[in-house]
Amino acid sequence: MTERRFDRDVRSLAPIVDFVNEFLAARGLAAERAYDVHLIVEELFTNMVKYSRESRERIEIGLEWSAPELTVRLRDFDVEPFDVTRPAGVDVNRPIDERDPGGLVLHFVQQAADALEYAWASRTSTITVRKRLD
Amino acid sequence: MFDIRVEGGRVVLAGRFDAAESERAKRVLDGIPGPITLDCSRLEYISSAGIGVVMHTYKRMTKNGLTLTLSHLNPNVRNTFRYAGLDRVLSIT
Repeated sequence: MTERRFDRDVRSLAPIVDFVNEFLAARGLAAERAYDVHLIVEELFTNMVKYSRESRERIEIGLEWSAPELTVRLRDFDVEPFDVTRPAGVDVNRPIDERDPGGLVLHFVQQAADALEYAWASRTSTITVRKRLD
Repeated sequence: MFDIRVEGGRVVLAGRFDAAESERAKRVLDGIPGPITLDCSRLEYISSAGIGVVMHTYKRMTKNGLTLTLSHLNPNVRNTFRYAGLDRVLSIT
């Protein structure tokens, strides 16, 4: 797995995009096929930045390619648990005036991912996402 | 990279509308009385943060009896609105 750590700040999103695109390009994968991967990574990363404010550790993103599937792993260190596989609680059929956009984060991840796993041990959250790119 | 600019009666969005850019976009849109047409022909990507700004703007428009229209969404961006269940609610041309 190819790993890199990023400052826990939304300004890290630009270098994260570059990291993902460079990984894909090195394996001959067009960036256009990875729209949902970028969406998943951004939603999970920003969720960690937003809800794990007590940590000072950088967030690790790992990528692994085994055709036709990309595995994305995010690790957040020195944090309380936050299970991203729990129901997002979003009802997309509710009138828009009654909806809170904040709930969309987990909903998007759960919609876009083919598989989503969460584990927490030794104050480290590990999220593993699998996404087919064929 | 993200760009938002007012051109005539439209607001042109370009590039990546992500969490790093949502506050800036919200400030620009909040400064427009409306109605608003968002030209998305050069918008490459939008996340839940961007969708949240669009939802906020939509609520502000409808509260004032005005409209928000989105035009020329690429298939990926349109699919993100579909994830949010907004493709059936918003005016998309």
